[in-house]
Amino acid sequence: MFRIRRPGLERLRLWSAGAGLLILAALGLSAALAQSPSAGRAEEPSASAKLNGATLDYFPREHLFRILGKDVLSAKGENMGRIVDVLFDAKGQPRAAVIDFGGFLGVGTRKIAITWSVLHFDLGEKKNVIALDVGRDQLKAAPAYNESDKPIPVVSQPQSPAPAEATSEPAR
Amino acid sequence: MDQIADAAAQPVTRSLRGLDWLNFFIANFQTGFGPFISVYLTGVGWTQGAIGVALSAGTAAAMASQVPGGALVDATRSKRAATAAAIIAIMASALLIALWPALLPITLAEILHAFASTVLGPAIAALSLALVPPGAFGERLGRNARFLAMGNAFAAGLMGIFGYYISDRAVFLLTAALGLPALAALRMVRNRDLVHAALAATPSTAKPEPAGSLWRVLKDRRLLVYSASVGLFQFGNAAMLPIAAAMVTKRAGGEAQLVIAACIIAPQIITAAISPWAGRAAEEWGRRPILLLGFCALPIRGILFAGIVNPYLIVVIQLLDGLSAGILGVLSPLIVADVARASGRYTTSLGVVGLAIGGGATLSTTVAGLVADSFGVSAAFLSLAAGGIGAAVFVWALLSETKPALDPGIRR
Repeated sequence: MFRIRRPGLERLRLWSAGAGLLILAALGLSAALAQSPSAGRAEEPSASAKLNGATLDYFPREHLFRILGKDVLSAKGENMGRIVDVLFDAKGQPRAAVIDFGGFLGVGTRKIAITWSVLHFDLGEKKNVIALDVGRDQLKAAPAYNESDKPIPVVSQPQSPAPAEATSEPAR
Repeated sequence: MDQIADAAAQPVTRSLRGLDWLNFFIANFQTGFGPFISVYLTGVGWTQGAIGVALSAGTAAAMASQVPGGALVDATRSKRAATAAAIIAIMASALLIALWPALLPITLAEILHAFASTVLGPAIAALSLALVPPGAFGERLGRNARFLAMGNAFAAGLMGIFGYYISDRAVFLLTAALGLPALAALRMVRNRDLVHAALAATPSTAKPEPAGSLWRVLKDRRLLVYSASVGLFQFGNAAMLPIAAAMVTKRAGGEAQLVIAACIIAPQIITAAISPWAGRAAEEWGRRPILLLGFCALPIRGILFAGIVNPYLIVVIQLLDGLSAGILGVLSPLIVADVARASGRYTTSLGVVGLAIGGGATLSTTVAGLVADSFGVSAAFLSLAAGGIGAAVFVWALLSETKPALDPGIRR
């Protein structure tokens, strides 16, 4: 059977090949991006400098934590969700962190506020770890944090006082 | 005339097979761009406010482009080209999200995805319409829905595995990659098999249509009534799974995530099982009874959700979601095809219904959230169930049977 090659099919084939190359390139790029830069831990903080009258300090990158979106682990190493927000009080002290907990593919996640003091920031060998003193069972049943006018329920350690009411500005 | 007869005589199974797998592979586009984007953006350090901005832009773009997207597909001579363009655009959107998670690129990716989605669905419906004779359209839609459901289950499972074992970013790369077999499946649909084009005829092939015909679509009473019913249904439906899933997270044990996965995948199995039956039944007994069956499953689901305590029962109740979503997935394009015979603008009409769906879904999430905050989760489920009852009553009272043989004249 004599088959005529249609220009439309050729174009489609070209598009598919192009898309395939794009994805291969993307996978390669993403693998490269995922490599964490290994930095020397023996660095000392640089001396402070002057900047138009203000002081400029340099900190080793491994000593500081980015927290938005970072995983929080329990004492047993279970995944307890990600930090999505921080609540401060009028004195500028962090009082609570809001954690996005649970769910599958984003369905069924709950936001829960926890007292700042139950968070531990540990400098690890390969990466920094944010750990939580509260257990999974204590966390998952807490009332959810939401953007309504009601007082914010904040989970503390079992022997701590009742949930605190935080008057605060969420981090933006 | 002979050419068309010859084309029809040759087996069209290859094209139909291609259409099957096209539905299977595009299912992941729905799964990947849902609430998971929030999870991903959170993971790369976005604030909640910024996530809200990007997602709202996507929602707004989707609503705005429903009708224009449908009209665009009607005006496009080659539905295959429109489908291919939409798939490629969604792949590009997924790549953008995976590789460049800054505010502007993500917002643009969301908008691009929204436009492409409003073209993709109607284009596939138009392809289906052109591939089978009119009486077999219901069954064809049933088959589409079956493969879509299988694709959803497959995608949800695979994406869950990728997200858990690899990374969130890998999920979007997977979404982009799955566009390739979708394009390959589209290639299997041959142009010469698209012969049943009475309704899919574009204005450019016939004599020039009068300028008022687009407005005629929007003023068609049957279309408006149907759109309103589906919008009401979505109002009752959209927020049910998210709220139920949050309940599972709160009350189930360590395997809560697996339970939620079951809540998403089990209904798809039901949908895959019943869709062809629903299509055949709609052709044989009419659209109304089957549609009512699907609509009635919704308030029952809501009332059950409001009353139960055991989180594991939620999976069982979710099976009703498979019933109503499956029936609606088949009957919606079928009824719109019936209704659009008057205007000939099939995909534009699909766009109108899509707009109602989007509006209903957005309202559902907002209202259910407010009710849940003030009165609790059970009250939220009951208000959604009330919406479902309203939708069923609306269909029962106002929507006349649209099946052509039973409705020779147009009843206004």
